[in-house]
Amino acid sequence: MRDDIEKIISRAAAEVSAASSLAELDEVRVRYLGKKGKITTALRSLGTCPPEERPVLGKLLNEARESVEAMLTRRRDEVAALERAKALEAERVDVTLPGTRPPVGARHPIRMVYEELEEIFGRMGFEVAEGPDVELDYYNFEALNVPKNHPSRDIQDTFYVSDEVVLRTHTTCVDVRVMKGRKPPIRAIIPGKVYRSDASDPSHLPVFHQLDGFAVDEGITFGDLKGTLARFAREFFGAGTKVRFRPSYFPFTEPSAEMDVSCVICHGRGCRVCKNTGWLEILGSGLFHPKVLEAVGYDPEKVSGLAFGMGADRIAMLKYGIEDIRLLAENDMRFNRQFLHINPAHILHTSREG
Amino acid sequence: MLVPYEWLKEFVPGLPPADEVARVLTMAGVAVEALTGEGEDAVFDFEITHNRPDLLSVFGIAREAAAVFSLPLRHPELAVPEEGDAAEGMASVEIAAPDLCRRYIARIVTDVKIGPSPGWMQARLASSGVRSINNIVDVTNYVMLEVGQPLHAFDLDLVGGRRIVVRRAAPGESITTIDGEERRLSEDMLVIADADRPVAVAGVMGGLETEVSERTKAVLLESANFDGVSVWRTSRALRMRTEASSRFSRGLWPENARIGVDRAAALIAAIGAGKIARGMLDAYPGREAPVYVTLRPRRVNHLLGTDIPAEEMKDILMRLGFIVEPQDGDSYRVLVPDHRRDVSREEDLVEEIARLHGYDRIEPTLPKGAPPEVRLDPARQLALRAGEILRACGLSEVETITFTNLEACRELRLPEDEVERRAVKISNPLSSDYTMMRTTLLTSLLDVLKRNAARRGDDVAIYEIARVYLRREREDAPGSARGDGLRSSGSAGEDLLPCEPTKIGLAVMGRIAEPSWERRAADAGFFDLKGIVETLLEGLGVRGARFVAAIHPSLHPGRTARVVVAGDGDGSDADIGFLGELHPDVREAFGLRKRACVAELDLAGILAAREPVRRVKPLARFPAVTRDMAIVVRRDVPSSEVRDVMAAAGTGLVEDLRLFDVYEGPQVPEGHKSLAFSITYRSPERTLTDEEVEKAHRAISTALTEKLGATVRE
Repeated sequence: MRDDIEKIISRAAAEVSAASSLAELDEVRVRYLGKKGKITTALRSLGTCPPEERPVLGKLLNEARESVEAMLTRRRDEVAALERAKALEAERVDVTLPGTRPPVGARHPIRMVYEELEEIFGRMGFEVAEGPDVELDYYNFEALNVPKNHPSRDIQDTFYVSDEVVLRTHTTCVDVRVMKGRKPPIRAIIPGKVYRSDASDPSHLPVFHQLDGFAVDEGITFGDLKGTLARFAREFFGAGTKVRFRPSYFPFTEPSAEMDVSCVICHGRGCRVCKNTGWLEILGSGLFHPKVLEAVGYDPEKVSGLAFGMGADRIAMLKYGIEDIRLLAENDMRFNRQFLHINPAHILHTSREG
Repeated sequence: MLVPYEWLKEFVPGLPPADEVARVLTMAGVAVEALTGEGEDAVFDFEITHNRPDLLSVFGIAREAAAVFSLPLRHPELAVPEEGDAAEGMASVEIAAPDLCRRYIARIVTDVKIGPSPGWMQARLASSGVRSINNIVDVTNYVMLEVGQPLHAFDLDLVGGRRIVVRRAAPGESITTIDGEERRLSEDMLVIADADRPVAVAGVMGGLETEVSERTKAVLLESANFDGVSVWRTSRALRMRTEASSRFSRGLWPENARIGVDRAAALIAAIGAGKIARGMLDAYPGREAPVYVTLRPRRVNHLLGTDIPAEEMKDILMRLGFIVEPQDGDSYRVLVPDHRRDVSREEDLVEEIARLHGYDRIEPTLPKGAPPEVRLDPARQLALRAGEILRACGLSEVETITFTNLEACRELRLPEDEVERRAVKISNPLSSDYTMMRTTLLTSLLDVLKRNAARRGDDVAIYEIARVYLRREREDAPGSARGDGLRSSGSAGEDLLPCEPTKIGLAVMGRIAEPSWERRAADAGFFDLKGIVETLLEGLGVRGARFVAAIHPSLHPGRTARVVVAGDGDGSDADIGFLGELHPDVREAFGLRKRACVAELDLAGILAAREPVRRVKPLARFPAVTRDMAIVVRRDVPSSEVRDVMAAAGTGLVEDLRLFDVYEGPQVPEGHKSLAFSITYRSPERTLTDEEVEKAHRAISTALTEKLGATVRE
């Protein structure tokens, strides 16, 4: 009997390790531990053994059962792991297949530029104001020191709706609207569309975009104008950006200045974009002309204001390397959708390295 | 304006090399646009700002350069070798319109020998971009380039009565100008006339009949000062922009007329083109009082944020030709030189001081004090949020031209009389494409679809948040909310301006999602766009918007909906926009191969319909029971009505109603449809019993049968 038990165990061990699936293992379990299994049967037949051997044989058989159970458990874990591995292997995918992307829309570069400008000037305390595109001649010209029927109107070719109503030629008219209703201190920027009767070509559109800005308060200086705009230039074009201010003329500022930034393409070494000067003309600026301050009811002896205006299309073109302004108005999806992959932070990063 | 370096150097011999001159003058506000040629042959191309007509000449630039570089300035030779009879006996000059002509000087040249001008003069004219004609005409052009004074030479023998009258044109008068064109003159135009007729359009162009020719024996040389605004208007009205008119338009000073005529006379004598009669005819009714401006150095430094010493300010102004005298206190009395008509206030002196001191030497600072409180515009915030949602729905932003034209409106089948009534028209359009401002974003969005379709881009999903422009009608009060941010009502003229409401425009043509190897992407339809509109409205805080079948001329009559929200308080409903599939006729007119759906929503309407701040709901503590219900109703019963009946009958236990199937076909009677709903019942207070759910379910079923004649299929 003892030998039989030994044999049973060693046979069971062989069968367990030979089993290669959970189903086979279960068959093995039934063969040894099932109702009619060998060990179960042997245990049941203990009664036929001599009484003095029963305790010993009983113990042996119980140990045999436990050992077979242990073998089965161990093997079951192994086989389960193998089977899982097989199943997983069958589910293997080619990870280089393209992902299934949710549809995502792209921003338009003009709005991206506006948003960035709003953030930059917002950090300096400028709020965003807006005004009408179809504007009174008064706000567009007269209040800005450009009288009616005056040769200085030649500077801008204007679309007229009637004698009194124009399509605004700059967003500067909103400066007047904002100041008229309020008292200093005010800091505001004004994004918006502007209109000039220029035929479309790679650098002109009859409708384009500006950002004007101004700060009025007691004691605003020309130095403040320089500092504010230099900070904008560094934040927008990159920390290494240099600026220079050249005297210029606008009817609504005195003194007036044009701001150039070191070329964003060649970093001042000279290239086609900056016509080998190393500088790019970016914006016009100055201190408000006293006549403008008077027109909104401020006392120029007490209050002064810095003001600036820039073309959003132009700086978008410089920043994103767009060579034809018409691309900004055409909305060809092959162009617009590229801005899914282009963002201001990316540009800043690469331009710093370059 | 082209200026040869060597000519400039004649007046400022100490000038540094041309490239340095270009750099320094540019930084002083005299912008050099381009520099061509090398060394002494260099030629500058200056871009002169509108306020500085005194710089529109070689001598003008020289005067400025001398001031900028602190170098001595030489003046052009003005000594005239007069001979023979006095000019006074040979002709007469009368100014009949002193308001438009401040000064008129005539010198008489006799013994004129017309011929070519000397080579050096021709060379300088050529390098300044002027063609040589003959010695007399070349001198007038040369002097204009050199000292900035336009001149005109008349053949004296052809001037009727040898008489010059500066007057307004008489009714019906006309003149044939040197270019051979006949010009009709109007009564507000200033002309130079002889005894009988106009012989020149003042400050614009001379007449053909009195032009200098080979036969000319005597010349009347005109050097005058005409009113800039008048010359500008005349040249615009006649569409003639000449070198002379653009100079006069920008404003010349009467003293320059004397310099111009003397310089010309001196040159004519010097090159042997004629003899200069003694004296001149000088009508000068418009002599101006000298202009003085007070300068307070403290104020200059206060505005610039500098501490430039008063002595330096004085020095700068004197270099520029101002005369500076101490005045009481810490101020100065500054006499403005004749040629600086742009300087009339202290701020103008501030700029002169700043630019010669050097803008680059002014320390950059930031405005002092805490920034003022910022006002956020809720409409603007809403628009930004709307953009985020729409991009997350797969729509790309577009930025379109705000113009349109009647033809595009016709293609959109928009009612013409309404477009005519409401569109803002441009009185001087640039092209027939851009004759008016858009009244709807549809024109712009369709233009984008068309453009892309023309380039085989048939899958386009776009949005734009921008304005449309509607002429004000009587019921639109001036300053009425929509999009008029800063319009102060009642202010003069505001009622002349249109309304500029901001709209959210959506257009979807073809697929929104890219097709992938794993999933085929279908073309978007009405319900895709509707889903986007719903997502947008909910994301913006508008709940319970309803979609009501509607008609829109541009859209498919069976696939169009108005978007309606409950009005604020007064119980009325408000339309906030529409959506629908493009009418096939419109689609064809725009050359679109795939179906497209569009929507337009009013931003102000959304803003008004938004729920106030919404707070989170507590999570449900009791279990829900979900049961399905399939019903058959007539085809024309809107599903929204079915829902409304179900929700109302659900005795407050219906938490959610989800429509999961719509079916029409063999198993459903003709003219009917089957709708299958999944109904979630839940109470916030207790676990519902089967009886309660059954009761509610039955109540819904009964209500559907009674109110809509529905058959409920269990």
